[in-house]
Amino acid sequence: MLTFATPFLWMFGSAFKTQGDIFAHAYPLTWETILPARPTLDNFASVIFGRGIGRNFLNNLIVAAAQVVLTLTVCAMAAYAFARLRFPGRDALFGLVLFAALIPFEATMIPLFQVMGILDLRSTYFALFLPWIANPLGIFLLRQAFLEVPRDYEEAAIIEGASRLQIFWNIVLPMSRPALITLVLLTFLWSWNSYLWPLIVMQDSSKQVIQVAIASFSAPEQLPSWGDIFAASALATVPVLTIFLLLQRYYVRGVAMSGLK
Amino acid sequence: MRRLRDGATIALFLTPAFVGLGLFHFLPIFIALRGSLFDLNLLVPDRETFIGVEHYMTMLSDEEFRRSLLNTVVYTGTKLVIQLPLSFGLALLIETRLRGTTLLRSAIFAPTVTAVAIAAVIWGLMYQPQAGLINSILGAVGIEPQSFLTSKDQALPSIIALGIWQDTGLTVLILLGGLQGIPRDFYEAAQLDGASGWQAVRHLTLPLLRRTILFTVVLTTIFAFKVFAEVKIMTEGGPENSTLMTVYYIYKKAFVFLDLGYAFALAVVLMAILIAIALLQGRILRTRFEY
Amino acid sequence: MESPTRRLKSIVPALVVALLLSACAGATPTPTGAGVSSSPAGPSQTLTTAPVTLRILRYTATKAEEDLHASWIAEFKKDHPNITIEAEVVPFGELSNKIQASVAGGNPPDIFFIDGPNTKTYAYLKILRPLDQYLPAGFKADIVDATLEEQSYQGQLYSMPDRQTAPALFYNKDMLDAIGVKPPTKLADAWTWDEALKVWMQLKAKSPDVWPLEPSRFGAGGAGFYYRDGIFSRSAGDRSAPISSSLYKTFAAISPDGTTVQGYIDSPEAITAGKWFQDLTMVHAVTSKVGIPNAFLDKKAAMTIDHEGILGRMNTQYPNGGFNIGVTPMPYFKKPVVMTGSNASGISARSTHPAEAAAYLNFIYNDANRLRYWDANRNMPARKSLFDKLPAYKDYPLSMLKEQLLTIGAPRPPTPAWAIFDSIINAAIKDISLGAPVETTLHKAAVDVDKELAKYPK
Repeated sequence: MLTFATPFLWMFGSAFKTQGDIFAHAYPLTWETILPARPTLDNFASVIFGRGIGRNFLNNLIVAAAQVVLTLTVCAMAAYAFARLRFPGRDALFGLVLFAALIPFEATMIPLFQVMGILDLRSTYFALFLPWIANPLGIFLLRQAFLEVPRDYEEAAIIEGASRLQIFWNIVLPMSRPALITLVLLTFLWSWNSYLWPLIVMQDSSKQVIQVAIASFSAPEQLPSWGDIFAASALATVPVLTIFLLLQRYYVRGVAMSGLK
Repeated sequence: MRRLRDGATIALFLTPAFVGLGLFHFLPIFIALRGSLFDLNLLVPDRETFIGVEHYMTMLSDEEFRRSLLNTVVYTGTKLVIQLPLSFGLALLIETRLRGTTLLRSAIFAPTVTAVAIAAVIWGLMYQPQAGLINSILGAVGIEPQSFLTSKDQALPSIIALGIWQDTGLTVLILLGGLQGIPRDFYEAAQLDGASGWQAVRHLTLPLLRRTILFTVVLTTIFAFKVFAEVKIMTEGGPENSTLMTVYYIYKKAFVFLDLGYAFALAVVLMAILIAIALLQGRILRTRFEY
Repeated sequence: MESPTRRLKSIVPALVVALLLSACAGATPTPTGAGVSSSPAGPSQTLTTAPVTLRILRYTATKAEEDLHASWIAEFKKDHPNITIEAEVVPFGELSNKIQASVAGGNPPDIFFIDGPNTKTYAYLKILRPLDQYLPAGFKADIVDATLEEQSYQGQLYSMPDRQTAPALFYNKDMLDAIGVKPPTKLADAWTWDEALKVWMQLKAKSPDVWPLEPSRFGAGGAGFYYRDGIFSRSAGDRSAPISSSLYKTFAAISPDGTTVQGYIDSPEAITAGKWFQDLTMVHAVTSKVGIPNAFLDKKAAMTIDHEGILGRMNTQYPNGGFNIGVTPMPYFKKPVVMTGSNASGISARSTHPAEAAAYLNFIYNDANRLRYWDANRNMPARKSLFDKLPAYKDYPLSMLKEQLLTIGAPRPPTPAWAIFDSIINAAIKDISLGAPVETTLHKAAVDVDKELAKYPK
């Protein structure tokens, strides 16, 4: 447990240190390595008021919200089709979906950038989330979950005359809640911490995201502003960690919400 | 009638995903596939020379590429073998909801939500060969200081350790989600039958979790195979190519050497290998669980 | 899919430029923008009166420089109301990726800032436009020799030099006083590397917990940054030796026609220097194998190889730094040499408004604006006449740094494949410092570089 927490605590502790104190006590190991001897809020003031990362936070929220909602919608629909509907070529198509997950992004970044140019999206928020909402791993995860839903409920509902959409909405989705929440968390995390793609594609600095802003705290040939970097990084982790810990409460054990009334 | 309605439903359900996949995944792949047959300089986009499979022939004698593949396979294999059982154990532990598990949960997720660049800086300091945190601890229990990232034998394990530290939270999260999906009455039934905790895990949890486990294995494999940031920040592939990973090599070929065509060809081969591995994993896990 | 484990980020800024303005360090009064008018574009350039938008790509700079960039845009707009300037600002470490993406994606900006040594690559690939026709009379002749060489291609200037740097050996005066050593202050008296090593050994004996020499703070930290670490090898050569001699080749590091580095970076002299460099970490342990952020300023190291930027960093980030800093000329094996470097900016070959872009560059690079720029960062200017307008360079230590730049400065090996050369040689230097066999490592690097040079025929 300490192994997991120590580096993280170090980051948080350093956020409250002055530039000179950050590495001065990195070793030998004392309590000052982690905890600030002279705590200061200057770094936080500097990143919020001086560097205006509030704006970047807002951008992240906009992008993450759009990405989570759309990813969930698009992936759940596709996953249901693959899990429960029968049509010719289904497995081959699903194989194709999985294939998309295997692309090393660094290799297709330039082609993707060219595609965004053709679509003329290079200075919009759309550029930041649109490419990732048809998430092959998301489709895979939800398909696995939908397959776990006992078929009896659905068959009963079909006999009752429910439509596919009703079954999907009233039975399959509620019974797969843990997987849906997992996907929300994963998508939020990926969106929140993305760096390389926003850096390359976004040409409007006012729409830039937090991780790129943090990288900009280093001007050439001056020392990186470590205090600001750690303060901003600490701030950046708070929303993700909060959502991680909060949302899991809504993992509800296999409650059978059936459409059988 | 129903069939017709189903047809409409299928179209409705699949279209958004396939439009997205087509534009943002398959189209770039197609550009890369085509580009791998050309001599392409990253900075001269309007000049391309068709050279057929020449890049693929070059690859056969590319020692660095071979080395990068070997490193990537070692990295991925080691990470799977350590990270997955560890995550499974931790997920079961958190699932017990004993006191202190909330704290444990926070500790495990903290690295996952930390930006990799920050993690790399902190670990770099902990790995200091002379006076880093880890050597201080080792010294306290009487172990010689180790050289970690500065030794060609220890650099790769050091990178693996960082990877496990960062990603365990992710796999624990997914497994937790899967565990929550198991109906409680299954366990109650097992307890009535007098099964011990371990038996319940082996005969009940594992088979019921098989789909989640398969997902976790595939996900971890794909991510590990595409490891990049840690290598770029911490070692740049060194010392002596001991941490050279394939995606980092692809990146270098494209963005430093400007040899975009060759980088595309490398990416195509990497994808082919990943497909083979994913298929194999699916097959093995299916037979394991009599699926 | 871009996942958390897939991100890359170089927090540690890469190359050679600047220094912080110490806002309160008694800056000389600057000419205000009010009286500064933009110099006319070069001969025969008439500017359009139609509305024009110029896109600029530059890196994030210090607060003082950012303010300056903003006022330049405003002042230029006053003189040219029809020209709108839009700046996109990215982290310095990502500048090159961003340029590559914009070029590959088919919409490069009109003006982009680059790392100086990349000028030849961009000129060779016809991404930058030659500038001679736009320059005011006498401008080119005024540029520092090493800089002019670095930023020209086939006789034409391709990028405007922001400033210049040339490293020296800085030291913690208190620590050297403690062992009773007074390092030389004149170029003619510079230490040899062996003399420097003797002092490092004394320092180590005196206080084992302090590194005698700070590990490189450049690049990713630790060895493997040619601008700094290549000095060892190049100082084992001699630029005044006959061109065919091994001594000359060791200094030059690449053949005059730019086709080979074999016999240059792996000459017998370079191998000897490499072994000496390796012993610093592997035998004497006078410097750390890995980077330690701020080691010198945190008093964890007694000396550091750095450029004058360190003086500003000390003032601004460690106002109570609490030690006296001194500087001695760069040591050498055979003949002194320091590598120069700077940022620069150029005009995209695809720009449809080259004359207007040139007018803006001529404005921000005119004398008055360069002096304001010097106030903002205190790096050396890249033009000789500007030194005469800056009284600070009359006395030690700045006079010594200036003298180094003008007399022993050398650009990094001139080749359109510079970034590739850099990447290969850096990995070799790093491996050597961690114990790899010197001769085979250097030889393999030379073979690898030659393979790439072949792709850049004249």
